[in-house]
Amino acid sequence: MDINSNEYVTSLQRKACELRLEVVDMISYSDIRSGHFGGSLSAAEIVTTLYWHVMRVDPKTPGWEGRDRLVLSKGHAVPVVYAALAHKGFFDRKILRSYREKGSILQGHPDCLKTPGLDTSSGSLGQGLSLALGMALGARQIGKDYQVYALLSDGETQEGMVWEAAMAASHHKVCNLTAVVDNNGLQVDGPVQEIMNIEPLEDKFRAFGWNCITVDGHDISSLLAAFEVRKSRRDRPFVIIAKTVKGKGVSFMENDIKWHCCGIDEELCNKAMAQLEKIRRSA
Amino acid sequence: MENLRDVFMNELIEYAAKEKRIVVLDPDVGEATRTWNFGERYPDRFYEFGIAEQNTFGVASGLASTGCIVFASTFAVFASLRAAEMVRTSICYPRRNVKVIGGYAGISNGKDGATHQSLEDVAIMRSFAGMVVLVPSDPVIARKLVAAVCDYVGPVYIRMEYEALPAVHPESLKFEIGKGYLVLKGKDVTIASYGTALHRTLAAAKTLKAEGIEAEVLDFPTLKPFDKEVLLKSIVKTKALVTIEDHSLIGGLKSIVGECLLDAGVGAKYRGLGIADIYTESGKTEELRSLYGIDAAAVVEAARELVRGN
Repeated sequence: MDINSNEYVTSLQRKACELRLEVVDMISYSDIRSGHFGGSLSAAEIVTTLYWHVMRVDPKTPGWEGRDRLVLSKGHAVPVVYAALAHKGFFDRKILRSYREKGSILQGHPDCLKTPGLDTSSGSLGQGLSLALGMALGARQIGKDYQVYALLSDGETQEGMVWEAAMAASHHKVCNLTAVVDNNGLQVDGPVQEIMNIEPLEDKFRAFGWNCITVDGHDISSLLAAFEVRKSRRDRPFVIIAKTVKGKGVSFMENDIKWHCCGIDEELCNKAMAQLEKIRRSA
Repeated sequence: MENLRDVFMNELIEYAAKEKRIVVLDPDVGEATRTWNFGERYPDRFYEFGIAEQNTFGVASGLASTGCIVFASTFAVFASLRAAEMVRTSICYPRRNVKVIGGYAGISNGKDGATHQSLEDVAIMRSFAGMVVLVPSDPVIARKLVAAVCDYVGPVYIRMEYEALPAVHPESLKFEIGKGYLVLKGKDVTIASYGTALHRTLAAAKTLKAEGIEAEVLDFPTLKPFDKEVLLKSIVKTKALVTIEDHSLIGGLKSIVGECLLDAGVGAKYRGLGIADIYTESGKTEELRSLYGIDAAAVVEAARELVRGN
């Protein structure tokens, strides 16, 4: 895996497009016909990089003790993780269209007791970094060398608990914990900086004792490089602030809070799929 | 006489020598909860998180997911209120093997007043699906429940009132989660309690006996799942029930027995002693128990009224 090889980067870029297509497909073709588009689409490259480059997981043994773990703290973005887990082979792709349906293993927010490959249940924002910290400390207790990743939304850093966890992670010198903030700039009620400004986010994490890097969260090469930096700096917890666009890839969803979570009709679904397919082909 | 917190923690320390998966978390109450003692013995299995209960219980969930048996310990009022959502959503929902220890429960921290007295914790914790709720009533149970909760895989809430108490149960007691215990046989009235109230109940039973009233005393160290059979068997015999609890009358034992009797279609004359719908005040624990009508005298009065109708 040469991270500088165009072919490798392109293959990951294409995979991110495939995950986006799955996101729109699973939401549009479930009986419910609604779900969290925006935050799923913004995280596609992050999730792709984690599952296809960074994390050691084994779809045949989801509970493998030595696996790397992902806490999807922004649990509402689970469609993109469901897509990744299906494409990795944790469960059949056909199940994706049962997202949020009664009896489905794919709940509206992550339920680790139902979905193979999920390392925890989540969905109530602000809690995930603490859970990831617990898993990271667990590696010490059980004598394993796995890494733990937490994917946070930018808006959820408004929750005080995030900073309790950030403080504790550096206090306990936890070096196997990496947070990625999907910094798409929008939350349910509007732009993050208008609802409750979180900036300067890098400075905040640094002040809490973390190493920090900001990258373009849609650029696979930048994400790969950021995780390389992480590998070389294992002295403390590490956060990657990934600048993204909410609804990325679908013109009418981009930067529109309406598409945080909503229904979709066939016409718009077809339009979205056509746009994403075009991007995939050109990747 | 032994304080329940010391008995419990000493046993946990002892037990942890062979059960290496035990990890203890503390949000800056290690002296009061005695988790410091655990940390002194096992520094690699003890984590301090400062005054941050939400994070503490979130971390507990993550740690438990890796196979650790996590004891996360703070005051009952903070475990059940400040960290309630973490306990519900991050611990109970994914069925994590976390033992939530709520110390200074009830009004056992009398002097600190309403902010530190925990009168809602049973109501809150028992409402979480899958949560087991335990309350030791004497040093024997405080000791024996350590092995029981370690054997049980899943979330458990252990309500601890910090009080020095004599043993009531025999050392030979076979403690089981989900079991209620007949402590004293009687025929005229059933008195049911959990936690330290058992000792007031027994004192009351002694007074009642001198008056010719034979009280049957039940102890419920497990409030959830509740042992309906032990309760119903006694009520069918006595047809009169007094409950006493160092907890709000809403959502605690009064509610539990009410649910139980309604489900069974069994009626009984009844008096429920507990804290009414108020915020309590500072004072010595014993003084407060008299003030709020949850002392032995109140039990005597309630039982007498039920049996004699005056």
